[in-house]
Amino acid sequence: MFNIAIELSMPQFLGNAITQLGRHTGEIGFHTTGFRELTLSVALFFFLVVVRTCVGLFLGPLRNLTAQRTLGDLRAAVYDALQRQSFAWHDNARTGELISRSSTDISRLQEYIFVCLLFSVDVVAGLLGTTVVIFAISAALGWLTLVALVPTVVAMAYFAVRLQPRWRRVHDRHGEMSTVIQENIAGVRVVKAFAREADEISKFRERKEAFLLELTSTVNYWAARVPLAQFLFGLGVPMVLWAGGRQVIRHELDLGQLTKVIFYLLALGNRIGVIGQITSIIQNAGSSAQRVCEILLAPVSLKPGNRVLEPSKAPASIRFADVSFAYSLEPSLATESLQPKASRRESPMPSARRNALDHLSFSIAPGETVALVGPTGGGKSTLLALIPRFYDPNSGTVEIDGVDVRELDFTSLRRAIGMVFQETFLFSASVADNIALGNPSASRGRIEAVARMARAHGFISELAQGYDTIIGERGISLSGGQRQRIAIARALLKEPRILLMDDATSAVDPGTEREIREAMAGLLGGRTTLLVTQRVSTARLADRILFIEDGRVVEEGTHSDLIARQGAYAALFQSQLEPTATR
Amino acid sequence: MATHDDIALDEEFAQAEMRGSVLRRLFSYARPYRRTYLFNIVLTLIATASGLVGPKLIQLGIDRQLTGNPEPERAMRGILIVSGVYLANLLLGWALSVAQVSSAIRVGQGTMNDLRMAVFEHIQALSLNYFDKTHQGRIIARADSDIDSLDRLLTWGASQFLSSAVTLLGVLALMFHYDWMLTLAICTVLPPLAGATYWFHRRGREAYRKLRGTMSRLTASTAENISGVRAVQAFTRESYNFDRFSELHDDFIRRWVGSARVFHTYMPAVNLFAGSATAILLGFGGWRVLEGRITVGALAAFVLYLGMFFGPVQTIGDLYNAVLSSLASAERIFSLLDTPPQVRNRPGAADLPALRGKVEFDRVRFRYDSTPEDQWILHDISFGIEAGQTVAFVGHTGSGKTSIISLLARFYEPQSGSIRLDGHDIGTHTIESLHRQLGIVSQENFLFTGTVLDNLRFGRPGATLEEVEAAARKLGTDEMIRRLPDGYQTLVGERGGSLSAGERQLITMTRAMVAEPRILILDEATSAVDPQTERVIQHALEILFARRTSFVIAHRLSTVRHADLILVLDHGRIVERGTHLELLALGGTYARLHAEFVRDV
Repeated sequence: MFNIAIELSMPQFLGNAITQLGRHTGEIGFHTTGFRELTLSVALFFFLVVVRTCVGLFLGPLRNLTAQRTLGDLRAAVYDALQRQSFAWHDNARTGELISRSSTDISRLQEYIFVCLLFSVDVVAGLLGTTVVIFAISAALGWLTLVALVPTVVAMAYFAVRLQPRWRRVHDRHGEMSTVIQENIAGVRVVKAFAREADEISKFRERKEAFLLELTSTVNYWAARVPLAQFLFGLGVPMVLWAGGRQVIRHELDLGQLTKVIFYLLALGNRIGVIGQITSIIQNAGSSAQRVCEILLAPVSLKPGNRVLEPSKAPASIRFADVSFAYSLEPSLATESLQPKASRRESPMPSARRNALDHLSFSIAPGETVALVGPTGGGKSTLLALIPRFYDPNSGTVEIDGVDVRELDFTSLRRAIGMVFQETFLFSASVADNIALGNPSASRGRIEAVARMARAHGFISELAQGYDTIIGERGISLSGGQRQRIAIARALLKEPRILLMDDATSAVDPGTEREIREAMAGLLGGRTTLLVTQRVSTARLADRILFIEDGRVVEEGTHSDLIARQGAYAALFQSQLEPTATR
Repeated sequence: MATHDDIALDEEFAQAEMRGSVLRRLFSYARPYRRTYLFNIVLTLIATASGLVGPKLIQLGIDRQLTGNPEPERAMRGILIVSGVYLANLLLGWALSVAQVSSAIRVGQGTMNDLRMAVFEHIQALSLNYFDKTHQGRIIARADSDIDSLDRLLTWGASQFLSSAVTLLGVLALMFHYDWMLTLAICTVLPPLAGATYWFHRRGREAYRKLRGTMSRLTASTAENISGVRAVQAFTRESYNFDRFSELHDDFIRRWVGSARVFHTYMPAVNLFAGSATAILLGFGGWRVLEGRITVGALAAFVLYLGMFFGPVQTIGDLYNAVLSSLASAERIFSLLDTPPQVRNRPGAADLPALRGKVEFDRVRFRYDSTPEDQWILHDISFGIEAGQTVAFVGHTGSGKTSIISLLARFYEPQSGSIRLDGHDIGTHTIESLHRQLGIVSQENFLFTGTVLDNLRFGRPGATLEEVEAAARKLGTDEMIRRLPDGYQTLVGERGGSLSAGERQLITMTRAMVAEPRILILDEATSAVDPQTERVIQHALEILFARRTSFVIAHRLSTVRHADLILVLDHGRIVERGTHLELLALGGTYARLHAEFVRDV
């Protein structure tokens, strides 16, 4: 405010000085009075300049800090919201889209918050202050200023509202274009294997054109209208020049006063020019804000319970009671998509939403090892994902030690469970850090011990920096089998009460697989284990085998029971049993 | 937990040195738009001139009509004319700015997106070795954020520079014209201003570079947390990761404030110099007025012109910074464009004819870029199979099975030796004609966003639904696909929607079938499929194998038993070759592996 007061008073001094000078025009020779007045004006003016500089030095960093604090909170909030969102939500969102919203859009907001803080106050206070000052000089000129100012502000506000959805579309188009790049690079081997480079190029060209079209039309919309607002305001100067000029001629107004008003108007004009530019930045950033807020405001479908699962080393029991589950196909984030998905519009309810689990019931005793086998897509992985509560069943309950998992808090629940997924995500960090994912403070000795158990120690020792070798996206890449062994070590390190393994050794060669199995056989005793497998050799180690098909338990028993029964299990593993028979 | 040194290294070059060659090359992409560009520049010049006229009109109004004009009638008419001209000038400015913005956008965005297209096309041409050693995020950044950062330079650069320079020169000229002594007096603030600008530039650049470094670490950390969210939640790392992120973020804020402090010292400094100049103008100019050397109107015009003087000085400084960081982006983009594809068509390479499928490897020796100099991944591999035969590869991880297949697909080229199909050396023919006749199903079952049908047609976009269904039926996957929520129209995404790993694998296999390749390659394709489904596929594969040359890699020896030729690899050498029965009789590595396999089951 102080800053603005100074800015407003500056033309005042210039105007006064000019008035004085005007009074002396035409007189010839040296004028003591004139000179003294002039010196005074200059001294005062210079004083103001210095004060303004000091205020500026102080004000800038202050604003900046406020902006960054706000932004910092926002960035952290988005980061946290994303990592707490449910699996179902992430399943139906695109990684590229999320990354673009949480980095590019937030950076755009950075500009926005800064611009807003920096200019909005200045602009508004400047507009009001200037108008008041002009009124004080001459009411008639004041009214003229309002005639120029009011339509300008109204027009600006109107265009701003209209521009926002357009910028939103521009960002969404940009997001779609980026997704094509991302997917193309992720799938580069497939693209090359099928010689699809040319088609990919035309797909990209299409997205690029769509983006360019949207952008150009938005900017053209802006260009055709926002300068109009500036023009409207600019009209103030000739009006004032003409009306004020007449007053000066009639000696109703001092020439200096008129000059002052013109200075004020031109200074204001500069501000309006700035508004014109920042309207577009703000609108642009406004739609970014929208995209970011959609992440923050997305409802979290899974709410943790408040019961804490007592830490214990004892194996836990698991019970599924009449559990049914279907995957949601609802997109997590709305974007105004390029192609209206006609086929999906017609049937808002996805036709025949497949139940991945269908009234499934079974229980597992503490310490038991149970193998899940069955045809592809039968629901085995889904079943595992319900135990650590990555998803909630649509009906029925999943219980651990007799407690519904929905009543448990996530941390104690998931700490008790060790999981090996089909796909292993490696973070860009050392091998040791990756193994110690569940317990960052684990000792090196402990890490090596679990790596030995998972038969990973051998290849890790052969890496250039051993356990300190950086792996993952920004490190060296490991083969499928090696990744799986890291994942097994990772799960074992947690000393889980429940161990879930989803086809955890599918990419490991049979010899190594057998070694892992042998090493683990001793371990399985201390915990409850559920493992999905396609190999009869692994299944036969289990205390009990559940044959899962179409989301139900079809057969149940030990390996020899099920072979004896000659049912689905025996039929499924016929091929793997054959070689023994032929020998 | 992550070390992002390589990215930080990338940011070392966040601002490049001013280099004419890069700038010239960048603007060569604007050549198709040169007419629009020229138009834009002409508009800019007119608009700048029109902007300079304003204060002159006000000076005329004050001097000619409002001071010393004895006749009120003529003065009234005069002021009306001056206001009218001012209005007309304003109208002109409006029209110009509309045309200016839209032509600038056409040039800038047009150029940027042509460049984006060029990058994307080049990425398609690059060989796999590039993707092995460059991480995805960085390649994506070249086509995405690096291009976006050229906006300021390409869209506004020339017009802003011209308009600033012309304004600056115009203002100077006009001020000299009014009163050269006064102008010289004002110019005394320029040297300290230049000094401040230089200081700001150096400090600002340093601070900005550090800021960029932390910024990209922050982005990388966020991106990784999103891709790895499942692991994060499974291992309850949320709080731990959040703390690490907060550390990074605090660091970022510190740097941000640091870099902004430079800016916030500079701005008041500029204002101080601008204010001092006005004070000099008022003092010295006022004295000149009192002495009758200049008019009051001229003094007023001086004040207005001075207001127009410092803006362009700042704009040019700012622009200079923008140009430097754009040039850094441009250099990164050009270095990608200048990376030659390691494998490319030789000059005059002809298309391979329709193949029958005879394959020969002749003393093929190979290593990857990353393999140490004294080691080979494949040592003198030689073998041959007739059209329609099946060859299987057996051996431990790292024995060279996948490398052989990558060479056959010409993803890489051998250092010596040759690979011939029906007697044609694949090295002397076009890559496209080779890939059109190959079908590859690999360990990674990558699906593109779209329907299942889109994905199945990937290798043969012209295939009809009937043809696709026929291929799926032949393979035994038709039933599985029909059971999906929307059958062939089911949407799949990066994580395959609700598809299980096995289903994804079956789809990628069907995709290869639809392409009707002459040569089929299966690389560990059946590991996630249940035994029964695998059996169904095995059966279908046998039918397909019978008609085309096939390469198979599988850990499960049951899959390879029926091959016409089994090659046992060990550390890049073929140690045994023969049929299943021959190799069992030999009693070597294969027999041992087989015994192991049988015992496991």
